[in-house]
Amino acid sequence: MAREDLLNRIVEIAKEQGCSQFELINELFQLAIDSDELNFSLKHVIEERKVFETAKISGFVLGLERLWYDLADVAYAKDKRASLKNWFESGVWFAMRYTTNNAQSFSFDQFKNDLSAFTWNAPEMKFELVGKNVSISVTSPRFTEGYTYLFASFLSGAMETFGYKSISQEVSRGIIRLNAVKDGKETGTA
Amino acid sequence: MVKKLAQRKEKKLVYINYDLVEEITKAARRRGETITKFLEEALMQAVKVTSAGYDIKQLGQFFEVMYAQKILGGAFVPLDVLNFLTATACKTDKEHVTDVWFESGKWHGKYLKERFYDPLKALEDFLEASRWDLNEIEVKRFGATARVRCVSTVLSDDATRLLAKFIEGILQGFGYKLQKCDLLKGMIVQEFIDE
Repeated sequence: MAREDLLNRIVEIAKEQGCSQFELINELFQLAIDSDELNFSLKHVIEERKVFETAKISGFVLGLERLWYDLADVAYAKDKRASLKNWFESGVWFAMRYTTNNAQSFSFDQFKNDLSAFTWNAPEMKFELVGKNVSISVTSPRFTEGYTYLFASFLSGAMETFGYKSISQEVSRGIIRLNAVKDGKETGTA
Repeated sequence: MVKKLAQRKEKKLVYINYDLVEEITKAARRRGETITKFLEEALMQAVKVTSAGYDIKQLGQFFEVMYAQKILGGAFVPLDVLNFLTATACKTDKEHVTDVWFESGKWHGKYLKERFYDPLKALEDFLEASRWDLNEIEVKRFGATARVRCVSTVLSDDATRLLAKFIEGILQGFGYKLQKCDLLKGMIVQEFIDE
């Protein structure tokens, strides 16, 4: 037995998609079972789908991290300055999408959520906002040295777009700690 | 009491494949939920999926890709950054970078072959769901031959070549050998023969 209101909507959806109600419901349950077998709920799959969509709109592509790391290392070794500048600008561009919104605090939260979702290759990514200070820490044992420095530059670019000036940076292979302050004025420990 | 009863949602019988019933029962039990709750949650999500403009089949394909990407170590990178890195890295050590993409493709191919019943279809789904910089993707089998066609309006020359090498590696991982390859900036047309 299932809720009538849901089933009525499913009948409409089946009509829209040109398939039978029976076919649609069975497909759906099969997907729910498949995802459950891999310890994902259907809700989780839909949330992940949204992350992919946002990444697409934000100009990201998905590929194998070891290819990105190798490219990053070769490019960083060849031309550090140009590579850092490119990633910085990319960070500015990415953050710009969020700053066009008038509700600044909501935008920053959205930015944090999206960036954390896109950076699934980093097991730890934390943002701490205290007064006018922001502190970002990223840890990933898989990041190469070049990739770590470039990603730090991306974060700096994004922070500057939100009006934060970097006051300290600690970057070494797989570890990024950035401290920045809004409009260059420190107000306490971040 | 009467009001509460009136507010309760009506229930309806749903017909589902007999084979699914047992699996649904197991899945609901694993989650510690009743079958009704499990089914209603699935139906509710289906309504959300369609409201967001997806269909269930697409979501199934996406789910497979997402799962494989997480296993294989997928990562997002801005397209501009990718093009810049590709250009710079290729200027420095094209041979090394090309080898890395080819080897990585082979590894990728072995995984897809092991995991999917139809690896060529899986490759097409995989490229469609993850490489949004490609406007057109086609992976087709004609007997012992496989044909791959990718078109992009934003891919640089170097990025096109690296992607082609990556795809060649994947097909080699499936057991195919490259027969013909036409590359232009933003366009890949390759033909492979099953070994």
